[in-house]
Amino acid sequence: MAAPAIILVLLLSYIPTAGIILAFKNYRYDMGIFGSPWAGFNNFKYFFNSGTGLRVTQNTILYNLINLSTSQLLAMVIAIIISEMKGKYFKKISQSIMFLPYFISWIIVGAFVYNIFNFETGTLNTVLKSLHVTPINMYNIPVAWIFIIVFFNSWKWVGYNSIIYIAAIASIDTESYEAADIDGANVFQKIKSITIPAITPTIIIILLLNVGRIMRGDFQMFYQIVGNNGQLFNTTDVIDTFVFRSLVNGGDIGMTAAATFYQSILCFLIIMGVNKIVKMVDDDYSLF
Amino acid sequence: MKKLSKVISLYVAVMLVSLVALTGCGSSKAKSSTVKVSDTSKSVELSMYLIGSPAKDYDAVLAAFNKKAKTNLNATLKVTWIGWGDFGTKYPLVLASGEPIDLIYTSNWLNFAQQAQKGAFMPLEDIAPKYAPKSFAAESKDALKQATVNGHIYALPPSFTQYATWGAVVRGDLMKKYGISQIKTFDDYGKYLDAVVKNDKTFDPSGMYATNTPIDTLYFDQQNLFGLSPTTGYYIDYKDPNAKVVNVADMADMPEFLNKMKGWSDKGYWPKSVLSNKDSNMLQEGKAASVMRGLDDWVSSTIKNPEQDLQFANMITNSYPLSYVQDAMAIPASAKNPERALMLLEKIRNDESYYDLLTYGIKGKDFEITSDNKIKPLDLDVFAPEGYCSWGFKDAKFYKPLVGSPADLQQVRDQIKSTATTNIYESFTINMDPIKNEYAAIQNVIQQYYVPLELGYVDPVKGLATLKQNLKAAGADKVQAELQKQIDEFRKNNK
Amino acid sequence: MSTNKNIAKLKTRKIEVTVSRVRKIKATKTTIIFNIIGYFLVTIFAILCLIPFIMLISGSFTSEHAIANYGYGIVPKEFSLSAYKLLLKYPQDIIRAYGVSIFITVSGTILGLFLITMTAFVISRRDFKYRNKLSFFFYFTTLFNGGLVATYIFMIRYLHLKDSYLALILPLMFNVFYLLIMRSFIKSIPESIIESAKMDGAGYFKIFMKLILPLSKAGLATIGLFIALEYWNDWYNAMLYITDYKKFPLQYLLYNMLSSTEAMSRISSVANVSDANMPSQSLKLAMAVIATGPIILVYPFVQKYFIKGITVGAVKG
Repeated sequence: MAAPAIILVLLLSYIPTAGIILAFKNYRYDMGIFGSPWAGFNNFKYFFNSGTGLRVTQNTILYNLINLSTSQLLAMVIAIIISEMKGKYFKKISQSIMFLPYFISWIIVGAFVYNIFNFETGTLNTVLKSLHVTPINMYNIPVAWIFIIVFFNSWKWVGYNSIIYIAAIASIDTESYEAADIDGANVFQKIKSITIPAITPTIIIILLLNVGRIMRGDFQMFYQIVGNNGQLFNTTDVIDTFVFRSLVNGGDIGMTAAATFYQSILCFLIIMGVNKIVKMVDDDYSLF
Repeated sequence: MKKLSKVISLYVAVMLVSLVALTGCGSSKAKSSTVKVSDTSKSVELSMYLIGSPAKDYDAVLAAFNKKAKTNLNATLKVTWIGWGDFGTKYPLVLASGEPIDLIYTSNWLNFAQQAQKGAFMPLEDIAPKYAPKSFAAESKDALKQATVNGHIYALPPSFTQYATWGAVVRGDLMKKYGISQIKTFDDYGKYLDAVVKNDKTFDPSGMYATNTPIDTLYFDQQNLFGLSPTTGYYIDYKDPNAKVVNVADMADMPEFLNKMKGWSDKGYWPKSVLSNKDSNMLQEGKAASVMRGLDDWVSSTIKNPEQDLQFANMITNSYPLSYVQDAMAIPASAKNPERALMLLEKIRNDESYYDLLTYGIKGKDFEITSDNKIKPLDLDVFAPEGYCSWGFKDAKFYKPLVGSPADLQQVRDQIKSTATTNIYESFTINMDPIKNEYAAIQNVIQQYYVPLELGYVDPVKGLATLKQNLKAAGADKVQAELQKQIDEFRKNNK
Repeated sequence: MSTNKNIAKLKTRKIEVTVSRVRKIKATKTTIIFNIIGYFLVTIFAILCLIPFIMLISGSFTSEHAIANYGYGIVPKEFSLSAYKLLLKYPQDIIRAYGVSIFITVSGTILGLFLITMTAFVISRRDFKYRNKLSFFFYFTTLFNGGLVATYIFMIRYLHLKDSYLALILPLMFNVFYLLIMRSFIKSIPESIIESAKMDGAGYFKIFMKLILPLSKAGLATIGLFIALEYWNDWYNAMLYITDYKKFPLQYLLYNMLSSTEAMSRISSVANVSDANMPSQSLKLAMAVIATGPIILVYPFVQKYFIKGITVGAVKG
């Protein structure tokens, strides 16, 4: 029964994977992927020169961890609230509204962010000026952007993420809730003892899946919000934006492939480790 | 562990199979069939790749074009477009995929030289004189030199000499208001910016935005400094025959310049959030009082906003011909019909009816020619003149200015040409191979540490020190030495 | 005798009711607190989500001049329909793109959902020896990618999928993340039901079609929605593989508009091309509204599957 999927995946994903060797080759158009000369680890050098590579790796991982925890936690809370509360129309409408940010492309969000924070005419400073407070140049405060990015990340994804949790909660047997009602449990107790344990498998799967992506940054999000503002790079640069900027002029195919390979191999090692740990706790919760 | 090794061995097996399967790709050496010049007996469809998106009327234009081409050359043209937002990703992909493409637009900003070095294009020195004799003969020596990489000619540049112009496009109406009669020097421009700040606070004086911060370029231009590689900050004095390659961080008057820039920034000549502003249309929207661009932008802005009475202040005191490979047509290595493609290109560049179709549209429907030989577009939404990647085959003899261009355009052009000098470095292409890693790292350093510095957002002294430190860590010494070596060699070979 | 029983029953009932009433009063207090916190949080978050969207719509109805000079606001400073007029001047492109997007989304979602659910069922079975190996087989593809060049060459030269709708459908059809999430949904279906069906002699495929599918309504709705959204929002595959403008999906039209301006501004300082015909800000916003609009209306229809207890009834039966 799984045969069609296996074939599809083999075809579309495994065969092209041979392209990984590009990371180790000096690609020439007239010699193709397999004919081009080998380059050893040359293509990786630009990444690790001058230490920037390590800093952006650190940023990538930290951002992913923070974003993961905030957006998933918030999504869980919202999912539980929505599932428990009364008020059919309020539930439906607020659910739809919270889903809206998912549809707004980062390019547009970037334009809005500039609209809010720019020094001369931004919304923030207009409000501050009307309150007779000195205007802030947000672009001079690199640390602030960590919070701004985390905020916007949650803003975009909480509605979307909450759907999985809402669906998981919807699958819980209502009998347990009825029994709890009879025992006189209050809302918080019900959540603690029924809802959360029941969606724990879902939570773990989602956490694991996200850990497997820990080395990949959301390029559009960072690029559109931060743009080319070099002052903010130390705190907001991630692997994807760094690679993009380094290679936009004169970069070659091999160097891009090298960066991707670096991300892939680290993701691989991390998820293998984490999955093993999870397996030791409970075989059922692991990814594989 | 056993499971894992089983999986890995299965994976390796799959890889081996795919290795064999994919070996076929990439060996795309062109099979050059011996086609005699006048042999048009076989009907052929030529594939051309252009950058941008087609005009609404492009289908009709192409149909008319192909009607003629079929009659005269027994060939039809199929155009595929690579959008502006995609070219970074798609252009190299399309070349790498080995898909048979007969003609493709190329340019410096599409990394022409690097791709030619990596074998993306077909050498033309043998077939071009045979199949596109008139076009080839019309190429200037410099043009061909610039299209030559590693001893082979890889592109046919247009026969339209563009002169380097870079400066400020300034609102003439505001200049009149402040009583500024002309802007000739960098400091003159500063005076204008000052006047804007003092009198018209709602305007953004300099119109700079995230990807266009050339206030330093204007300054360098005045000093005859040519950017060998502006994204990595390497310049050279093109008037001094023994000049050394210098990085912005090491320029003698950089500290003084940076101080001045900090002063200008503090005075408000440009906003504090330039680097995050993505709006490139501020002048046309009436929001900016000037913008730093080239001559062509002056022309197009004037056509759009004649009431602004735009003036152009060229900071390049002695202009020089721009790289001829700023726009050119090349033939990818995968082309199936290079000879027929050249014949088609020859036709476009020597037969006005063909040229006008692709450049201006269908006569009578998309454009008209006025009595003074200017182009009047009839519906800009349907076909905008020169808007569809026709710059690759622009030809001086067929070029017609647009109605609404600045009245003194020809005068300005003549003046630039008369005071023009030569800049041998336009023909110089950097061989990136030995320094590609450091190059990438330095690009990043310049973006992060130099750009905010030149805009006066950072303390000049500390910022310059930080810049130097990071450049060194990124390998600037090695790059400088290598560039100097390549320049010395280049100068020797071009005596 | 029965009357005694009945009386006894009634008495216990009465006690139960009284007890539960008392408990209910206690419970109501916490419920009120919960509701207050809940409504508060949700409302704040909903407002934060709504405002940018209103700005988007309002911006699309604002004149270009107002946007350039005053930025974006909640209410248009200078109302203008010019962006929409321009977009709808040549509606054929947009209508065609709608058609393409709808076709791909519907067919891709149905195929993908079916494939994913079936495969998820297979790897959820505890009696399937290779379930972990197969899971890893699938998961591995999310870790390592051959890169754009290899994938592109493979799709174009070997599968000949250039300008083919399959190029838009196949890559997104089998998303491993969704597979694993679906697996966890299916795992929550009680084993007992499946056991009893097996004892009745049903084969796995039959069990899948007759039992699993109906019981996974919440999961199907969720993953189905996610797959549909991915298809609807995908512009990347169109950028790579589609060159025939008649086959452009809606999001690619939008992306083209948004990113070409950005790319132009990036290279205009280097190239000598003037960005004379770049779409204005309000045009881009109008395009965004048109491209996004319909899918938002789809979501409320799917919502009804997320109500508690909808799957349980079947279990009892």
